[in-house]
Amino acid sequence: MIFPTLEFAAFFAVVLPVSWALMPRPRLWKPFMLAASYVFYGSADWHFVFLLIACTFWNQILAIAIDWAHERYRSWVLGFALAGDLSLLGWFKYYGFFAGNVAAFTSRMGLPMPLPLLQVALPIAISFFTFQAMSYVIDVRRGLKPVRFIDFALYLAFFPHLIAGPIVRVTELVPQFAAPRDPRRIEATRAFGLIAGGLLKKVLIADVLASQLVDPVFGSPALHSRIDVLAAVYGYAVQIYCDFSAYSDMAIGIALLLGFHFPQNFNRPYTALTLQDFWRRWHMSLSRWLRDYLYIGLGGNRKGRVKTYRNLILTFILGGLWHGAAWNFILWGSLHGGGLAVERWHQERTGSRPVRRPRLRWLLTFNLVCLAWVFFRADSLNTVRELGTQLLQGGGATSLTTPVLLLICLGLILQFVPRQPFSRFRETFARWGPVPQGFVLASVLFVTAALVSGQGVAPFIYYRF
Amino acid sequence: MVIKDLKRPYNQAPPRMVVLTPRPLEMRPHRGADEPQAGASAADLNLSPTTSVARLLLTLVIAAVVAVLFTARGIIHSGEGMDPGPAQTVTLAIGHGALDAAKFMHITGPWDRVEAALGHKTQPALPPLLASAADHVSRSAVHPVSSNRAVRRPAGARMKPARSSRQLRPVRPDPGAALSTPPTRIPTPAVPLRLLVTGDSLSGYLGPELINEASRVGPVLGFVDTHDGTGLTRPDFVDWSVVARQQVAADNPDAIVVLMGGNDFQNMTLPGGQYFAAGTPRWTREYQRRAAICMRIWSQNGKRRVYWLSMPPARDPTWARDDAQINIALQRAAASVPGAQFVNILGPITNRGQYADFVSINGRPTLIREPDGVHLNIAGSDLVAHEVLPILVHQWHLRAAPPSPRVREIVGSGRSKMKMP
Repeated sequence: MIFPTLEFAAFFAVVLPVSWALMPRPRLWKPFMLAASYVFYGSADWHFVFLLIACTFWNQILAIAIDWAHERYRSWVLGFALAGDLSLLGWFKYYGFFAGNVAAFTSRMGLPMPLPLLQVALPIAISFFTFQAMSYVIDVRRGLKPVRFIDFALYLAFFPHLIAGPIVRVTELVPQFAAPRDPRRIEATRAFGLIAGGLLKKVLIADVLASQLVDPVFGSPALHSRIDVLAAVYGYAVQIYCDFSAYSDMAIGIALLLGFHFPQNFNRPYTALTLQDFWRRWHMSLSRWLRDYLYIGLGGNRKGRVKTYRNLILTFILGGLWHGAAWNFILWGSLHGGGLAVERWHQERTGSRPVRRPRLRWLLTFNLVCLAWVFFRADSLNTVRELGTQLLQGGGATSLTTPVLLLICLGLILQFVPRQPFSRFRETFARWGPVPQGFVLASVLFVTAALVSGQGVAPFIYYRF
Repeated sequence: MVIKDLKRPYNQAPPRMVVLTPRPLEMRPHRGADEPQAGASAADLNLSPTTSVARLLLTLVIAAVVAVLFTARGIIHSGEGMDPGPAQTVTLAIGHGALDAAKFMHITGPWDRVEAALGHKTQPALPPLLASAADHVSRSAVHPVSSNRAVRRPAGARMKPARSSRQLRPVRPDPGAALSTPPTRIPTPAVPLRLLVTGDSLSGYLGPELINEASRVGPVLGFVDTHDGTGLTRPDFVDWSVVARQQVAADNPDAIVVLMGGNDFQNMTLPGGQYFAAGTPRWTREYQRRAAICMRIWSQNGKRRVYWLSMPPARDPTWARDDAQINIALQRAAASVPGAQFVNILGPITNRGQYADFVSINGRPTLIREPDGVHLNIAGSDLVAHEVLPILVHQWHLRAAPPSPRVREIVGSGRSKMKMP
């Protein structure tokens, strides 16, 4: 079930009032919300609900074991818990990649050792819920008391963030489960703004750019001119931002309507002046996870300069691999990790002075990010090569249209628009009565429905991660 | 739930504050430098205006009612695309009720105007594919059903086992049909071959792959037009005879490559309520009739060439048998339409006609199917493109095609126990 569908509308029309009706009684509300979240998750394939439940039991039991164990054994228990989580992720997400590459390598060596070839179905959201479960057991190892089972199960399965984040920590969400939300203080205006903005970003910008420019060019680079290829590279940067941030905005907005707060996931990432700045603005909940549980776990910057660079590169390679089992994701991560290491080296050489020549730095950072997106989007390295060839040699007439060009510009300009007009509109909107508010929301739904014309919204890019 | 203060302004302080401060999580004594930060997220709790749940629900109900009234046609269209079942019944009931109300209030205009402005074509009230079926149906025995909606074929409804798709026998052309076609022209860079790849989601990866490969061997101008979730069994949702006319008018293709059928594992229902159970000979004949109509529209009496590809078998054995029936229907339809050709693509992507997840390409085991067990992935679509390319090269006088990947053997067809629907 994805957010902008009739199925989800029907689901939410039931869940929202019942959630608020049960809110004063946590003993009823928690099982209800857990069941609703499992229904939400199981609507794609009910088999995978058992996987989610198994992951919940595994991590909760081992979190309690970590808490009970003697200090000297805690790290062993944690290792056992993480091994289980990583095995789950490895089996469902990376087995095919691993088996295929091992088979290819050994047959090239003349020692064919084929591993069993299995078509393993990827459970939706497995990367997100295993990362959250891992953060919980690591936090318990670092001193957090295990939470109650129902709280942990609900933290892992809470439907607004289950499919594609934001990746929240147990310390952010479980305290909100502990106290009933106030039914008189719902941040509805902000929630409406996030949901409506997300819908429009998705159907008006992301999906149009995908169908009119990005998919055709990345699908058949040889048939497009260099201008088309260049536009598609920038177009994909706008598309993925408008797609993923739209999902995050909707998730945060839906949680707000239920009375819960999620951390911000995007903060105008294409205004970043450095790669470090970019990762403080892009998929912030993942960057934070990678920093706190991987980079720091590897030693962070405490073990010398060279190891700091190594840790940065390794963290981003693993971050790339988190997105998918393919060499292009590894290269995407390597580009970012390498770029961050170079940036750090430069910073150490020049001292921590404020960024000089900000426009040039912005241009460099933005183009490096767009270049890395090419690896992220391309189906194979062969496609990357073809895109490069077309960019250098591809002549001919461009099929780029003015509306598509305007959408790319709009997607980028939106990053630089001041926030005040939006805040002012939010305040004005909040003063209106339910009828005008309802008509404004209905007009957003109307535009969305007309644009997708009953065919449904295209799947979000991050669904497959 | 307490919903009492509907009239209280949003920004007025509530009479009684409910405890909002979350109970901090308990921490064990400090052990190191890497302590996680507790309770972070509700920092901006009071930054934006707040409202009560009663007001929120009222606003949402108003928004939902207004949106449903103004988008009634879209809701009906969405419902028509759903799988038969309670969800579809409810969606269509809401959509039709809303449409009646919208017509009564004369508010259907905005939707129609916006759809027209966006270039979305309205589906005819009686889809042409169905309209021309009446005569055909009157001559065949009918099976009465209570609903006029398509329903999934019940288990065991098959009348006779289907042949494997790989065992397709050659079909003799219809002697009555004028199958002679004008010779194809030689494409030039100035007037390239206009190649359209179309179909349901199965053609999504194939289109770019085939156009890429074809453009390497000759002057080709490619078009890809996929319509996800559609097929020939549900013209009430999307009528492919209408789509075919639109494509001919918009793209003026010389050659049309069609791959679809992934959504056609279902019974067919006609406006009179007659239905054809999937897998029966009458179902196959009706499917053949619909395919032939689309082929004629595309080919325009041989003026254009239509290459309708065989349906790759699905992992599900029941669906795979339906695929075989679809292929029989397509083969027969193509034999009766000038300019149309049925292309069997099953050789490199199946294990002697049976479903396979992996094949060996150039000695390397390669996954060729998506996890759903229906779609081909990029590698599989590439194999299909190489199967179709020699036909295009030969018939359109393109220069020699590059050698196809060597698909030697099926090295595995295992699968996980869980599969996507």
